[in-house]
Amino acid sequence: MPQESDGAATSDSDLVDESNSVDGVPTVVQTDSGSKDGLVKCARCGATEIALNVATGMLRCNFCRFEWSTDNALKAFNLDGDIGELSGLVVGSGATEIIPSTAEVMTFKCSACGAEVVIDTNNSTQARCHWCRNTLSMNQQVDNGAVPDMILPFSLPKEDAIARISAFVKKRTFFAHPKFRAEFNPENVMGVYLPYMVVDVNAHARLTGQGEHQTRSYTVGDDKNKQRRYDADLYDVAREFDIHVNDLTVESSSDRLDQNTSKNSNNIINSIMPFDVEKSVRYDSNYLAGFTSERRDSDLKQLSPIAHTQAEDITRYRVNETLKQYDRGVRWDQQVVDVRGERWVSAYLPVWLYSYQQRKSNGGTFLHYVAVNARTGETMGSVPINQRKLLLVSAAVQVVGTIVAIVLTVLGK
Amino acid sequence: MITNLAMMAASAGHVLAASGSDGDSSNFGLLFLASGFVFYGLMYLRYRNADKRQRYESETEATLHNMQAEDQFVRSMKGLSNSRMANANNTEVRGVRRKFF
Repeated sequence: MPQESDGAATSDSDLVDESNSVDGVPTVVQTDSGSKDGLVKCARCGATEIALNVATGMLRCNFCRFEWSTDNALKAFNLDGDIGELSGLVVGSGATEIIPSTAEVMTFKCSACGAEVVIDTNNSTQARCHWCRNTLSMNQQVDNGAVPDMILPFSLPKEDAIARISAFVKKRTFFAHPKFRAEFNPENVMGVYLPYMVVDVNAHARLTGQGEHQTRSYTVGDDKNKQRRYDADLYDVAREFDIHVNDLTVESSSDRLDQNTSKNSNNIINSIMPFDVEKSVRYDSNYLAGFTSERRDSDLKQLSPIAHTQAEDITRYRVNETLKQYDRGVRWDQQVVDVRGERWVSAYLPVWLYSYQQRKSNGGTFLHYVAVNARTGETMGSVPINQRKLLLVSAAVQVVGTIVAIVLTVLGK
Repeated sequence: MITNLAMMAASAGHVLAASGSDGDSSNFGLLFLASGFVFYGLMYLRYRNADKRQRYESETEATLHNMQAEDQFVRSMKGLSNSRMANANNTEVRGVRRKFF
């Protein structure tokens, strides 16, 4: 595996207390070696009409039906090595810093007819030559985040996604906005490759604080003023250990990172994770044929604090396995998570996305998503609500509830 | 704004449900007094799923190695009114991207 070092992004470790291990020059693992731009031809017949066969997860030539797949990316580039051996910062070449001046619209010369073909890397890394109809692919990485280190192909067929979205919405029709009900058409679902960073972390953690173990629970006071009381033992608690976090997945598009639910429904896309990223393969633009993609526009500088905070959360969650005796909880006063090594790999992960733009009475709009994980089938969505109907039914429930409360209170006296 | 109301209504329902489960009949009545708000909150969340996010803290694969544990008894405490330790933060999650406003 060829490796080289350059001056790409270094990690910002300010959210991980006393982290000191990822400073310095990162080790860059070149993941586009051997890739070429332009015409990528079927090895058997030479056609460029190549697309993913979702049923097999392999690339298929649409002329001769020959099928093949690219190598498992993590194995091919040794990006799945022992996390405990990780030291410093290791990044895939598709995860390095985005250079702002790099063009987003790239021009390629068609090697079949010589025409100039434009690829808008914001939405795809492929385009068809308008003269000879061959498909041109962009597989070499440029510093604009368009070509990732690896890609996880779709494995859930569109028909399955449509069925899951229909079933999801069908369970939520009573209070759904009437316009949405009239316009809902799950056939409009789109297959989208969204950009993520997959992160492995090798860290050493030391947490100190206090924990409480309940020894007795009893009731005090008379019949009219009963109160529950607790006795507990207080302990000083310390835990020191190594933690290996594997395949922590973070959105690497600034749009998708914004998950303010009063403004968008990006949390829906977040909630269908995780993906089986270990099955990702070497990037080949032909996997994108028939799908759309979003370009990565966030760097390690923006994403490191997020990943480190989430790694800290994972650390706190995991160490709870050793705290079961502290049934009243533990208060950590000091949490030192020293990141000794981390590995960042950029990936395109597959999502079936149904979107609906709701126009509100105040003139604003809100984009609702129903998303299906195109590997696991996990489905989540946001359905526009008929507020008037929901408020009316809620008011009716409130009236009935109030009557029941009065009756219960009277009977209780 | 609506999201906040829905979250407040849903959490009010949880609080009242928790107090009602202690068997106090007056609290059980209170649960019904909030029924309209709770219903609104629960339906809002069912349709909009604004509370949903990836549970990365539990779903991400992670392993602990070379664990060293220290537990030193400090003292016994009697007559505490709270069933949970004050300021316990061992289940705290800080890296969630989802925000309600």
